[in-house]
Amino acid sequence: MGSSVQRSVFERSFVLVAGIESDFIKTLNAGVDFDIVDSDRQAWSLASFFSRINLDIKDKYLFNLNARYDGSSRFGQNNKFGFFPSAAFGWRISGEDFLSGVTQIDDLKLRVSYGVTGNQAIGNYASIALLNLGGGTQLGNNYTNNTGATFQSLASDDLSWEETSQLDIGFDAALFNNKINLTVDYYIKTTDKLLFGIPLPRQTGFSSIIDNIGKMENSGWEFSLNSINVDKNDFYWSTNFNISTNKNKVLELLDDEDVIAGNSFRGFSIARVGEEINFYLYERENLVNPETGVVSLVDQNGDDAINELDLVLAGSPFPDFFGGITNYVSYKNFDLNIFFQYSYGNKIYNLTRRQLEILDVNNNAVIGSNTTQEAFDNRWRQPGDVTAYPRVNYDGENNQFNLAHNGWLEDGSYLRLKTLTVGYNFSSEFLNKHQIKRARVYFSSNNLLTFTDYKGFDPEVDHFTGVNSGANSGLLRGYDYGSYPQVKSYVLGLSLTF
Amino acid sequence: MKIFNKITIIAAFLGAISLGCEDFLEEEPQSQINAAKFYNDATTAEIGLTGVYNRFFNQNGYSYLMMLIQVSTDDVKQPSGAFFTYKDREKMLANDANLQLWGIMYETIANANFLIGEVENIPEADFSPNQERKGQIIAEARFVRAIAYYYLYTAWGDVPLSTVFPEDINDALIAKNPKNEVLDFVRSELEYVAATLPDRLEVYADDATTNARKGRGSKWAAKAYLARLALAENNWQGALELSNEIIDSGIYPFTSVWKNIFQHPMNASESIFEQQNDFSPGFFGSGIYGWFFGFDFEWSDEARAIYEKPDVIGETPGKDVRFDLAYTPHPWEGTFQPNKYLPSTGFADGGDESMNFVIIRLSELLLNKAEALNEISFGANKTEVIDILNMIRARSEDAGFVNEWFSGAPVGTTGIAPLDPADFTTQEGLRQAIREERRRELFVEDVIRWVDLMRWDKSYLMDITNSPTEDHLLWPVPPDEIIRNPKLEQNPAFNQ
Repeated sequence: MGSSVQRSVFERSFVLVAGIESDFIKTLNAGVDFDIVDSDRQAWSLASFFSRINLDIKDKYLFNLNARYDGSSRFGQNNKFGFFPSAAFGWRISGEDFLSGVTQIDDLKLRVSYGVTGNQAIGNYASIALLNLGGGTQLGNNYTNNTGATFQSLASDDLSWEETSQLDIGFDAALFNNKINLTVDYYIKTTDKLLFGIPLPRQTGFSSIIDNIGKMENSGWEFSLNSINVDKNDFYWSTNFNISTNKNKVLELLDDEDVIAGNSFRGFSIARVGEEINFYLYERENLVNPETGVVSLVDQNGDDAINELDLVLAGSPFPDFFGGITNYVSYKNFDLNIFFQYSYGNKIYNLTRRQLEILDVNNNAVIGSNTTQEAFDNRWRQPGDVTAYPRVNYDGENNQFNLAHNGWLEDGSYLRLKTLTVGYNFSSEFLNKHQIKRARVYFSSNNLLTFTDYKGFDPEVDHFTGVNSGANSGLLRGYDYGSYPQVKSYVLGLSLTF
Repeated sequence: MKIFNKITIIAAFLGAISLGCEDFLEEEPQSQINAAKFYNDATTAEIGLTGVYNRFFNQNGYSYLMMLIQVSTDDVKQPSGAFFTYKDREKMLANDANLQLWGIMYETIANANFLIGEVENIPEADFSPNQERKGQIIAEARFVRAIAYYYLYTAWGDVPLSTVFPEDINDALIAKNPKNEVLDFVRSELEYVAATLPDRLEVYADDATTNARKGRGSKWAAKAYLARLALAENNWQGALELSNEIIDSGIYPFTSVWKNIFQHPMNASESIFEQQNDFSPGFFGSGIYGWFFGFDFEWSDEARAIYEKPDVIGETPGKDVRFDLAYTPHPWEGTFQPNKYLPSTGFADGGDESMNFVIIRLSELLLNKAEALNEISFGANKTEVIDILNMIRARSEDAGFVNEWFSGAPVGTTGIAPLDPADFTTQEGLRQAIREERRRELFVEDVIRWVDLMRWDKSYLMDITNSPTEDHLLWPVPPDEIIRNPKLEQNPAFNQ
């Protein structure tokens, strides 16, 4: 049992001085132009009470009970405290008498746990209506050399902890002299009072308000198998295989109203009760109109207008399953390690292509946009051309194409040879002769091969954390906007130990 | 029993700590302000009011809106890049809607609504020794809010009308109000402001702060906007009275040297309302306006044609200073950019040149007066009207004008001839002369050309903007807004 109080103060000063012409003085007063002077001070505090009970009966029944009571300065007046209990129960079945005769089972443990955790990852003053003060005219709040104050954010008086309760049932098994290790888990994770910056229409004077917006469930299986396939004197082969599934579902929202994040350039994501987090896009016709070269969007409600009523749930950024497989083989002096990683069924909104493939050229524009070779080579040029890529969009003839539509939504499934290492260890006779303890040459490579239909640089787009971290962007998952691709590396190495 | 006691003691102990923690967990912002506790005296109310002005005059605010309206008129040949649809409304899509501009206008309104509500609650005594300042601060905030709605109305027509800061922000997710309701609100607010603000604000009584005064709402700026509204509904008598009040107040004497209205140090005597810029127009000043007018936009041929020009531009003496000052050869394209607000010395060093945007000045009121007089009675007022026009025309001569855009140009302009009453025998003839003078005099000022054409000749306006319907003359509502508030309806012209 215990308690703790923490207070964290963050202070920042930034001064940019230009025109320091010599090295004689190394402090800022040596400069001519004092371009930027800025400072900031913020604080948060957290008070916690916690207790824990661990119980271990005969090394067979394991109990673990935890409780926390946390108060955070970030939340609204009456909601600063949250209670977060958790309990875990483990049963070592292999320790029971009825399994004592089963020699194939080395270890078998059943686990059940349930716990609630709290999230307070929001701004330090998220529940208070804030004004910004001063800071210049164009970028700040002043006018006619007077100090001014304008809104930064709205108050959210009832803001409280986001609570995630997770139920986990699983077992660990070691079989056949530990040659096979198996771990299987099923989890249901329910996040309640989800902290989220709800986008507001700008007519309110604000672009978002942080609130506890609802309840979302993620559930799935996690399966991991470790096996030693061969274990002989000079030949060893082991495999690790893991696969996870995740099913996402929005359970509740404020007034059951859709929450839509993003914008019509970057694309929308939507949380809708009963559905997965989805991309929310227009649907394009697969081919351009062969007569005009223009791409049409589907008028879903048949009202002869393309507008927000025609947006559809276009797919989920979450994969159906994902995981990896590692094989390790050593034979005599050689060893080999191959790790494949995969993801299946997730969608990626390829914003990079949307940016590049619109082929806009406007009147008076000296040059048009950059484009991709594929979009340029396959563009519609004359009546009769059958292609998916539209005409050059001269003077807005093809502007519907620029809207956020599913033409840029791609299957993000991939299989990637993430790492590959081949090594050779020199024999001890050779080493002894040269008084070396160990010597090894190896070749290793990262991201050597990728099998995917995804057209962007790298299908490994983070579909779980969103574009930016933080409460504001939780919906915006699976977007690829010029994300820097991971490097493909080749390393040839020699390692010697004397 | 003993254990139970211990638990009780521990529970009591925890309870005591957690009560103590209530205070510990109170964190007040240190580099920002808690809005709910801020407004409690004259100083803080002034700070809030400055913030309201800041939002409106932000580089994504007034000047940007003015630019998009100006490029839609026949003063500018062809806006470039993505802006071309402002002159080709048939090709404009809902998606071309300007969310940033819509957003900043509503930020202005939300800040004003909040400030007005807060200042109402501060006792007048707390404004001592200048207790009237309370009412004035509220009136100034209402002025900015009213003109924000005036420009929203001008650009979009029907717009949502929020006039109080809501307890629950969801209450602000309202539908559009019909444009006549918006206009009625603007009018009644401006009438309130005109009746509340004094002739001269005491706090800005000395000359040193004249500039600050012209940069803010005033009784006279409110009346000037009201005069525009009167003209827009052909209320000639109303427009005449309002214009006369301002002219006769004597507070804004006619500036004798025309160029002084647009050159440093700005804030000429006849200026009534003027955005005070820290920097020259350009990237870091009034932002996008300076950028596009500085490099991208061209005068239309017909706007140039109505001026009397030097025989050889840049080499022989200028005639009309209004042309010479507003005309610049484009830096590299060999075309003609409108430069009324651009510093002759370029964009490099803002400070000294601070080019303001003159939003309302006496000339507009004089021209209002001339127009109203002619409409009321050509026969009775012809002489007075021509006198007004000639007073304005007389300033075209400026012996001291140095054309800084043409280094070799002779100093001075020779002026244009006064109008001869004998040339005007019909009301229509004089009407055209007034309109042409108005266009010459007020070229690329505020949104005047647009609102003038809206009242003079809507079908011509539809013509030059390639608008298939009247609805096309108003802008599309940003679709991102409609997605987040389905009560908002799209302008039918852009429901593609």
